[in-house]
Amino acid sequence: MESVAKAHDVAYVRFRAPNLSKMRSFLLDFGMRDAEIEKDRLFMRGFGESPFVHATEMADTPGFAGFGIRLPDLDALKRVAAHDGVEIHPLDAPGGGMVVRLTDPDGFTVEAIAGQTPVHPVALPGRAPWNEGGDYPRRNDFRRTERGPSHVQRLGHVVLGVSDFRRSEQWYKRRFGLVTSDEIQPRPGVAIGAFLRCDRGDQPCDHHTIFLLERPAPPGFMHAAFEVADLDDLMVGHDHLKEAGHTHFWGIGRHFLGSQIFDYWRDPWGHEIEHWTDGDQLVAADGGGIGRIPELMGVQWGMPMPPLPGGKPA
Amino acid sequence: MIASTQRRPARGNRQRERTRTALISAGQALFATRPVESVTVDDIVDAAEVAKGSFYNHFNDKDAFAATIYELVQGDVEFHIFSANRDVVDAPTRIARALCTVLQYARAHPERLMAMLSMAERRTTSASPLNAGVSADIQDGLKQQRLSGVDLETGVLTVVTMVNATVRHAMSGETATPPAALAAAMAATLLRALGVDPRDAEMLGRDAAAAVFEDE
Repeated sequence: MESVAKAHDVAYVRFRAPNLSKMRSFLLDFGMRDAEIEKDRLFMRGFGESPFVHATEMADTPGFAGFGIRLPDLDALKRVAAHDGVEIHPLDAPGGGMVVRLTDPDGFTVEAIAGQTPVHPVALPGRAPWNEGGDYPRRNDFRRTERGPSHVQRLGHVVLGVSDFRRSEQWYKRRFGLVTSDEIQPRPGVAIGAFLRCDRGDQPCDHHTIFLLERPAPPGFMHAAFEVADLDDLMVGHDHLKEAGHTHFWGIGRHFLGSQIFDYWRDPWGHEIEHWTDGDQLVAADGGGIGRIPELMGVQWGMPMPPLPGGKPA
Repeated sequence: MIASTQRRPARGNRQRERTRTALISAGQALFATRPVESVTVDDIVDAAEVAKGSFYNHFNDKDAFAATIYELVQGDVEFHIFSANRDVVDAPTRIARALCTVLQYARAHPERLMAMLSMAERRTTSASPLNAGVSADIQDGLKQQRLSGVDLETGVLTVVTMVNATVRHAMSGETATPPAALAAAMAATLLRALGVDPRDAEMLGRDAAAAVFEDE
């Protein structure tokens, strides 16, 4: 399928919440930093170049409010706008840039963006090599990990529960040129979801940027996943979130599809939010595979997956 | 402006969350081996090693507690049945695969499933959430004239009781029949009880077990 544009990555997730201070407090514990704080809007960034990775708008009813997909340039954004017959607007958020607001087949708001001004990354703590596998590069250099929150680098992927996988897959692929890394087939030839990645040609990218899963439940946000610095950073952040009294959901473990080491938490309103590190990287030519249910729901090691909620949006 | 974040100890929250988690895992373990009626709140708080008063901070009564556990597992089981039946239209095939899937799920998550089944015994009407899928399949099957001799009520009851009994038997450790073979035979028996032609029923049961257990 010829696509209108080729997305570079996901940029941010948006939420609504009745208490911005509470959300900020959680996100600081989660390992983000302040980007911009307004009376009724909160923008948080990671340690990377994105001006913000998480936005919250004040509202009585908490919920998922959509997500941003970064396009390589304004030309690509114009093509998407023309394809859907919608206008381009300035993106009223840290880093500026332009946005095209789309609604996917299940009603999720998708903001295609371009021209954002990146911010200077914040330095991560030094990362000494590991003494492992018979190699001992670290000598007279003692590993000490500072206690505290993880260091969120970037938004890595967004997972959506959809009502018709093929319809949604086509919608995202058509506009954003996503390619399939692993299609979820409970039985040969029958698909209920897919891990989709960006097409950056010969430049490697994450195994998945968007994961769409059709479930016997109304469509709904499933989780947003943020990359942290490394394994130590994920473990230290786990301790910190636990100590701060936040709600743990699943982990620590290693996925099959994408191979990340993962740790899932819930924000104060129950939205699932993930820390991950050490995920697979692929180029466009690496193609895709097929994943079965045991690979989707199982772990290579670590805590087994809790029951998948049903009946209402997750 | 938002006031600067103050580090809060949140120990109350943390303890609260731990208590809830302990109660739910104790409930899963207890309901897996005993009927809901025979489990008391005292049994639950003893197994969870929490104070009795804290139970009522989280749940109004034992029924509300049991409902929480049931709902937790129900969505997961529904997802597995949905996956196994995606793109399958034929009602008897869907029913046979559902039986096989529940049995396979029980082998992967024995405590979860057995706890849910304990409670499913009290949810036998076609309107109960997990039975909504069974209900739809029975209605479709009657409409497709693939099922006969039952109505919606007796059809749902037949499926619920036979699935329950099959899983309990398989998990009892008292049968030497391999799970896939038991699933095939019981799926065929179930379909016969729902009025499917005996030869058809046997073939559909075998195919369903082969499809669901093919990874084993």
